[in-house]
Amino acid sequence: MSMHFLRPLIENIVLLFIIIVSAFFLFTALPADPVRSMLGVNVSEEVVRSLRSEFGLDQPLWVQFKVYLSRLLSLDLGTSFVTRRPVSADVFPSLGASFIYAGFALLIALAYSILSTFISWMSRPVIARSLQAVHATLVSIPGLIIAVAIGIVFFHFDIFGFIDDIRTRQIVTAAIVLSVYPSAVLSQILSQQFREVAKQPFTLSSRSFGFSRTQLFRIVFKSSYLPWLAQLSNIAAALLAGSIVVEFVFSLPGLGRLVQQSVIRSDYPMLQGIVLATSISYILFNLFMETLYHYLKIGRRS
Amino acid sequence: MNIQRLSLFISLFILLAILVIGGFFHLWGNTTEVNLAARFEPPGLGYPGGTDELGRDVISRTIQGASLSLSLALLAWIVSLLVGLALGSAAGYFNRGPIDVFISGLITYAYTTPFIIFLIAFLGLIGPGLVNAYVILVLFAWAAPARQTRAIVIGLKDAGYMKAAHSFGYSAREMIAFVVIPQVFKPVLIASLAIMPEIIALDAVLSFFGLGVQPPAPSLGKMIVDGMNYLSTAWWMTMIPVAVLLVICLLVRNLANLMKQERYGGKD
Repeated sequence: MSMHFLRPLIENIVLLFIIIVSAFFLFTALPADPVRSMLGVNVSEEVVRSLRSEFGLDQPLWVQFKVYLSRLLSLDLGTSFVTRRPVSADVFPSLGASFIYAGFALLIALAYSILSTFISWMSRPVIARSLQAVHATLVSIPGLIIAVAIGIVFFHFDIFGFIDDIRTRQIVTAAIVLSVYPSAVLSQILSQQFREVAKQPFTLSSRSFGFSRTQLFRIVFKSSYLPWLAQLSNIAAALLAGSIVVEFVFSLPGLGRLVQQSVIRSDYPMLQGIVLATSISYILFNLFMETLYHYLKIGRRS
Repeated sequence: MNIQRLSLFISLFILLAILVIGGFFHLWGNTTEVNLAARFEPPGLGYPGGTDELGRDVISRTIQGASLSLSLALLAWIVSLLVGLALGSAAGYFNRGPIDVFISGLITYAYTTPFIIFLIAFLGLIGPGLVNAYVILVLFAWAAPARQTRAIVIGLKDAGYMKAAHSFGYSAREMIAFVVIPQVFKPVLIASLAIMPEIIALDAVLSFFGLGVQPPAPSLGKMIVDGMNYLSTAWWMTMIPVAVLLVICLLVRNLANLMKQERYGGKD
């Protein structure tokens, strides 16, 4: 049993280490000269040199790496080239905003997939089949494009205009826009597994015991939710990516705008901080999901 | 000719038509010419798709942009297919060895973290441009065929012809090149066609951020983002590229599904 929990832990720690190292080498060692590209060409050597020593870029590479690691241990992501403020002061609030959109979207998608499976189970086959067709169509278009296409309609007609608070309105609209694609994917997975389990003999025997259709739903759901749960990691990753695009396109506060600004201003510490913060938070999330998955799987067996 | 095959050919035909007509626009059209006398013309006889804020024809720009992203996605798909085949078969062949741990770690990373952020940041690092965007698309797309290949190759391990080839004294590299890859090529090719829409979407996203095809050359993503500013007065500037993007994705996905059915006889 401990192997089930230990293996993902070790794998994720190794992955984390690889990401930390590669983020360092990508953003610190590879580019020709971040200071030059920030200041332009028409700057005296003096200025370049002083700025380089300010950011510690004149140190040997391994000294820089040691400083980088010790900074990371205290959750310090470095200082922005442009704003001269700590990167974490900008990254964490933006990441939090994006997580709110993605998190609500995930909740909507989870609720919707259970609801749609329930509806298909309770109602006539025509409705189940048409729901299936709608999901299949939505799944075949990339989530980012669906989010933007539906978002255009939502933001244009201001469907949620009745919500007075601007921030709430933004969160509700973005979450609903983002949830369309994952809702379809999760519903497909859940209802497919549900149909498989519903064919099993134990469903029939439970039925013969006189359980109602609603009670049967609960029984079948208990043995069919694991693949649905296993899909959550991929969905969550796709959701944050979608969130960034939607935020940027509809100019909502969040990570999307920060990414775009940092790309335009070639703010390497900021980009490095964004990559590190998102990767680390997702690795933690995946670790949690994997542990939960194995826990539930083992719990079901015993 | 049954209806399935007909639909396959129609999808293929429309996609090719977009590619070719867009290519014509690219070579001889004047889709970047500014005409300030005809700004924000609504769709009508003169301009079937209306004009944008600089008086450029929206329809021809959309088709050219679509053709550009289709060709980019096609190239990226082919290269990422080759990369994915090579890495995936190596990982599957040396299943549970250090190579496999490394490659499947990369695949896991690409799937379970918002890899696109990493790619956008990386593209910001190496600078915008067509070639760089293309590298990013390949970096994004290799994971799906690699994962599929790896899964198939692991399943192949006990096949008789693998043992036979082994007994001939093939080295690991020969086994992968002459036995494994020919065996997995077709199923992976068909399965990985399903990631084409994702590549097209990423291409659009890169142009949202101004990192893809550089202006004044048209790209669907940039047209959508630019059109958003005029959504209430000139809806055609956004809606036409969005519609074309959706149609292309649906057509490609339809093509992928039909080819899968064609091969596996109607089963999923």
